Amino acid sequence: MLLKFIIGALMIGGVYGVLGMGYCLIYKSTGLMNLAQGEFMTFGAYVGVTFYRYIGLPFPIAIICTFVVMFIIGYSLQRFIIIKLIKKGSTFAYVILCTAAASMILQNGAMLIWGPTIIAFPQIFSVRSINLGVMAVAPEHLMVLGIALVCCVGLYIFLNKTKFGTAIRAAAMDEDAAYSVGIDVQNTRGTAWGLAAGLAGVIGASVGPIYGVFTTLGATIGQKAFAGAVAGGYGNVFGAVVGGMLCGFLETFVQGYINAQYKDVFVFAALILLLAFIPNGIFKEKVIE
Amino acid sequence: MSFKKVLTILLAFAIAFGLAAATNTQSSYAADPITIGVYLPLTGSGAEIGAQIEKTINIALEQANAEGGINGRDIKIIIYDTATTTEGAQKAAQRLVDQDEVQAILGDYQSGNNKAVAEYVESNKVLHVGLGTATTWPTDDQKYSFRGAALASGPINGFCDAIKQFGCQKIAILLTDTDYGKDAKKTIDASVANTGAEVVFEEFYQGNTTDFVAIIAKALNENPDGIVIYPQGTEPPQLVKQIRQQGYTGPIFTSEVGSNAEIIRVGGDDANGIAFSSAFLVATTVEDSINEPQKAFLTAYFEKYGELPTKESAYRAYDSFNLIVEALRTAENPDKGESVRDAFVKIDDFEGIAGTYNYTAADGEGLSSTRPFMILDQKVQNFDITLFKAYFEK
Repeated sequence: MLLKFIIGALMIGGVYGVLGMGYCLIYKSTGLMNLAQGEFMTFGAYVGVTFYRYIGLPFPIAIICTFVVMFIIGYSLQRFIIIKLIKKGSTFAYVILCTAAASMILQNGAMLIWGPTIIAFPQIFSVRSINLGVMAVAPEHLMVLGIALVCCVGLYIFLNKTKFGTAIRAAAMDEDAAYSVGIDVQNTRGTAWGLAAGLAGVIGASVGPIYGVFTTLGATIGQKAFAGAVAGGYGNVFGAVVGGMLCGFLETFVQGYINAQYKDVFVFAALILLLAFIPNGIFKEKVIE
Repeated sequence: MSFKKVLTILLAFAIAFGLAAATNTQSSYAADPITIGVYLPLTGSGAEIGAQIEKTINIALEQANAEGGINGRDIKIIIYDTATTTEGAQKAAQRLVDQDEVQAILGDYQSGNNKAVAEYVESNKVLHVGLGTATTWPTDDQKYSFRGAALASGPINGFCDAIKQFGCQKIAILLTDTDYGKDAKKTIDASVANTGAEVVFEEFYQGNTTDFVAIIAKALNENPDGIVIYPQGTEPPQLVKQIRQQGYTGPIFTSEVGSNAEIIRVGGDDANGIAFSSAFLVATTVEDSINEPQKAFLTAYFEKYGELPTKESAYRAYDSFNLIVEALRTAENPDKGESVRDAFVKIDDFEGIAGTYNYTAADGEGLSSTRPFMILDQKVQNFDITLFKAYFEK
């Protein structure tokens, strides 16, 4: 049973971690909080099932296409709406409210496009469960874990080993210095939003086979991913992964060893307790003033 | 002209004018539509069910108006969105009663919402028919609220009968942590005890959960030979899928949620081996209808929307709306709450999709029977213990 809990915790922790990375990426690059991250995941799940089930693409191709579509949505939101608001002098509070509006639009837009009925995500694997000797595990759970790992490693490589990724980090560190060396700061910011949306969409499409696809899929998951991002140190992309894993383990083990009714109470209470002792999160990330 | 003549002419005009006004008033009165208020989740986690209930009500409304409305008066409906919250339901009811002055209210499927509204309509004397099945409402002192569905104990006793027939010895029970689940616990515990089976695991999970890995692992650790699930909203197909994904191949028992088409549509083969009890059979084709009222409903629904309802709550809404119409038609004064309520408790032999409704006991309940079903080969069938057992012996 312990092994099942660990695998379950790693899976859901991975989901929180990937979503949390998106929160931190946006915060680090633009200083903004994005309240639509959960809905990026939901919309991505719908896009993913459309490519896989209705268009008939192989699952890996469907995932890549989902990333591309969601990247475009995230990038466009930043470049055509967020930037305009900031240029017109909107305070950050209003810009954040704009992201809240975006979340409503995405959720209700999904309902209008695909209907309010839960959509079945077809089985990806021909086997129902994989025998690991001591227990049986659904291959979809291992797949989600694998995709979350690929997202984390992929983002790390992109941000640290590629020129454009370095440009994103440079623009986040010092906007003026970045401009002065010829970095297109607005483009890097748009890309950060695009990456956040793309990753959320990919993880949404990957959990579709387990949870089905419905309009409130990302709602609670998004909240807990945010808690994980804060716990890790809001703005620290890899702290978000650690924080997400922490949330996943706490939630799963509370369900397993205490009571399933109170899992969310424990997760958010633990967050408050953590912040009481480590106000800047586990990786002590300084908040942008 | 003499003063007397002028006075006579003026008096004649006054009488004529008064008669004309009176006639107009009577005509206006006769033309005033009857309004039925509805509160539904059109957004939030209940939106899927709410959307189907809304479509169902529109069908029932068209049919009722085609039959002459309420004694010649058109019926109109006003629908407010609860956003799947109790607060939303309360605000909707207040608007319907205070602002829109509706003659009757049709409620949504969430017992918590029905309970909150029942308290409000009681003091305002407005007929209220809700679709929730929990025993938390209506209370004994509430005379204006009625249940347009089978009480939860009906389906529970139904699936426990299946447990007994199957011969399960060790039962695991997973319940949703909402009014619906909490209210059912006592009845489930008592009914399962009557089957002779031992409850080896029982736990609530948080409502609207998507990830059931840990609680299912805990339940399966006790090696049950039967699992009872009592989910709500979007939970049923996810719970069933995840139970099967963790390697459980035995029977699953549940309430009327087993009739929702999503369990098969989303669960696929995972849905096979479920036994449930329900007042309604959610048909996948018009030809699968079990009686004439269901056939008439599904035919009209398909003609208008090109699809069939997949939620059992839609069927509850259809029967409940027609029950309200019946009360309004037979009330001495359909504009007076007390009169409409008095007419409702005289409903004795009303044939709906679920069967015969009888509200003369005036205890809020009108439907006592449910039917046993099972899912095999991704199809809902009448429960047959021989076939059900044979499926697991394969």
